[in-house]
Amino acid sequence: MTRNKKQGIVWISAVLYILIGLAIMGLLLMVVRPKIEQMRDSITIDQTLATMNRLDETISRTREAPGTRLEYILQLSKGTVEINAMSDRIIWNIDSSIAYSEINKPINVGSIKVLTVPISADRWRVSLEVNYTNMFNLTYDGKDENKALGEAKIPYDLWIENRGVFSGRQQIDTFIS
Amino acid sequence: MKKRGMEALVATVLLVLITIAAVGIVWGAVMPLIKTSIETSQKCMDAKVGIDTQKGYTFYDPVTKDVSVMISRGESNVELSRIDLKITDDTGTSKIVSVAKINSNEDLTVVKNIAAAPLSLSGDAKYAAVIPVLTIGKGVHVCSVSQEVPLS
Repeated sequence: MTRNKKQGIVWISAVLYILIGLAIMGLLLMVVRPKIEQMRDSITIDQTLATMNRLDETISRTREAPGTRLEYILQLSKGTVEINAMSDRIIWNIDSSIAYSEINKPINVGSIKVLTVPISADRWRVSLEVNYTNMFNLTYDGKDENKALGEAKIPYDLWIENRGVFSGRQQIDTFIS
Repeated sequence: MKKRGMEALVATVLLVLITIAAVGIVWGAVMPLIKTSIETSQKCMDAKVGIDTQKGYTFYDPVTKDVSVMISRGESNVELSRIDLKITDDTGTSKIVSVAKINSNEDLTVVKNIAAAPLSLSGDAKYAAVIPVLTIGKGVHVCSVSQEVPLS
């Protein structure tokens, strides 16, 4: 009888220890996970900013002489990219768990405008935008129409082509192959 | 008599072994060189860098002395370090200028004033050619000049 009672106590202790352990792990995860997510989002936006800079550099290289046609491998693992040919802008929107910059205040990081707007209590939309309005006419597939690119595992094969000057304005065309 | 016969046999065997070893050493030293040379030549051909004369971006303007050359690349996975552009004028003088590298299937139009540095040519531009420069390991290999294209 005493032996059985002892064994029961050992089992109860074991279960209690496991439960306490799980509770501690759960608590830790609750605290740490959002922080990890915020760090991940911050790194993703940093990388996106670098990607936008490289895209801008490729466009600048293309602008140097008519006929130049360069390829840009666009890895879009988070957010959406809008080639806004109507307003000659390229915008990359990313939903983030961190306010990347001062809220509702556009700031310039090189040639890229960064704007953070709240979309819920703990979510923000970060827009990275390059504006070419005063520089050249940006087109998609030869037309002044907008093109939205969504998240994809396989990178987009974005081509940038200098088509020369039309009506006094340089035309830089983009297309996906 | 018997001893002398043995000595001659040993000497012959030794000579044969030394000859085989010598051939082996020469083979081992020379073959990689030949192999590297063949591979590099093959890579130069596989780089598929040339001048496009069809799209109308390769020309010379004698008034402004600007030369426009469209460098095109075919489907290729050979890694380029850079591309050199060679311009020859009507006096036969040639100058080489380095331009940025391009990737597979890309086109790059290069516009240069031949009277200004770094070309500084006195005559009118007559021919253009490209020289692919490959990345081989940690170094570079300058390929031979492509066929010269007349500039009109």
